[in-house]
Amino acid sequence: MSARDRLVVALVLLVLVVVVGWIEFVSPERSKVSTAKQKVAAAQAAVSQAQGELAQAESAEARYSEAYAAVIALGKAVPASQEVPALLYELEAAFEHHRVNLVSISAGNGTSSTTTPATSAAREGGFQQLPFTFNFEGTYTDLYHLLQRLQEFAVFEPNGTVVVKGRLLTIDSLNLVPAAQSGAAGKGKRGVLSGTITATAYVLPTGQTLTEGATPAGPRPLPAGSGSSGVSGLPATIKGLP
Amino acid sequence: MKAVNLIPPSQRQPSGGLPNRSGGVAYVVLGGVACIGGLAALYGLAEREVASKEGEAVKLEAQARALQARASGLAAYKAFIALRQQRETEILSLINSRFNWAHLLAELSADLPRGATVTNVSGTIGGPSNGSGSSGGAPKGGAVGSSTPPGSLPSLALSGCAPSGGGLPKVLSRLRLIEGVRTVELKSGTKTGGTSSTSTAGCASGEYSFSITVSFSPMPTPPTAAKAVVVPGAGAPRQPTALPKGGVAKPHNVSLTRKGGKEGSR
Repeated sequence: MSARDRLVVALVLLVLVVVVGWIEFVSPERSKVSTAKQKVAAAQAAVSQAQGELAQAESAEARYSEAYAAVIALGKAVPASQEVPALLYELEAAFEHHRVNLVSISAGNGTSSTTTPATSAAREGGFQQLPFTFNFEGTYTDLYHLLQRLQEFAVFEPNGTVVVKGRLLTIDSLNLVPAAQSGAAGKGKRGVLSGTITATAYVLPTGQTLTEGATPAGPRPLPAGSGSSGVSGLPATIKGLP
Repeated sequence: MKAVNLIPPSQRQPSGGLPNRSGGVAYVVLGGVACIGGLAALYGLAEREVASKEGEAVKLEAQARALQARASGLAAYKAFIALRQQRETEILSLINSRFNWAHLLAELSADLPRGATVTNVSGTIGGPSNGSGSSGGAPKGGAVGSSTPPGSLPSLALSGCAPSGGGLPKVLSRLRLIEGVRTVELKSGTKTGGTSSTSTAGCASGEYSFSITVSFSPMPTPPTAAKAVVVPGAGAPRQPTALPKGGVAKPHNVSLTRKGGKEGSR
């Protein structure tokens, strides 16, 4: 074997040793490094996420008292049960305040003769509707003020505040005729109108309670394993007025 | 004097090449040792980095678990805030999807021309104009179960009397001025006559007894809670919805009356 051949063989052996060493030892270790780096990145992401969740939870804890008061106030607009006596009381007070004579009130939209209010779920998960009809007498101006008052039982003000003064009502239909035409009690009184309003009050969906077990001291603990979604962007202040 | 190389040419070392005793193999061996050393160093560094990163990952995972445990302890608060937001959104949706009847009465009284009287006002919130809606009763469904969901069509049926000599066209054109009105349709307009002072429709002789249907634009989709922070009114559709506090003109001195009562409409 000549010197040149020996040199070539030695070089080939050297390259072989380097390649085998790289493939067998260094490369697997480098891939382990890469995997470990990914693990660290994932752990860092998990920490960030957990920090975000904790921040949200702490923020929720800090806002709990305000949220509890808001839920209670909203319950005045849409209670958990029909609360018909309270509704009647509010309506009577509004009618009296505006000198409108409440002649009669009946459950339903006027097409049925039921006397017991019946709620109907308009949509699964949505509020239940409590339709009712009331007949009244009063002047045009008084009726205008009455309608305005009913509208303002729950109102969203331009400053982003929801003001709840009473039961949230939606007026579905309105019929006004002179009392003299209707043969009602106000017949003969000058300028007195006889009116019929079909309105809808709302009740929380079946199975929901007003605060879902929460108390002023704190919310009801969640059952183990249940999560909660984060919320953001709570907009409005809610005022519950007596 | 010229130097003479006395070594025979076969015994001479090649100029500029490797030492010819090992034929350069020694250098290759040295290079091989260096390469193996380099590989070993790379291996050692990588192994050290793996250990370091794995330790860091374990530490971070423990930290994440601790944070998650603390957050889970406060999850009930988050759920309650979510409940508040859900209720608020639904109630806001209902508030903003109402038709403002008080505003309509105020506008009706302001827009009716002098001399015209209205003897019957009947307003309803009907179903969407897809052919399935009826004039009475609002469609069910829609956002959070509003009885007046977006797309409902409010309408107003009016009957009354208008003076002759352009009174009826004036009533029709003035009714178009009401906010949110889409169409004003004359159902009937009959000139009353005869010898009696009032007709059966309650209009004086020579007046037009009319029946008009006023249709409004469909109820708009209420804004979401986030948008609801914006002051309503600017750029809003011409549909009376939520009543801005103090933003509506009070009605004029209007009364619905039989013509026999000689009571003016304004």
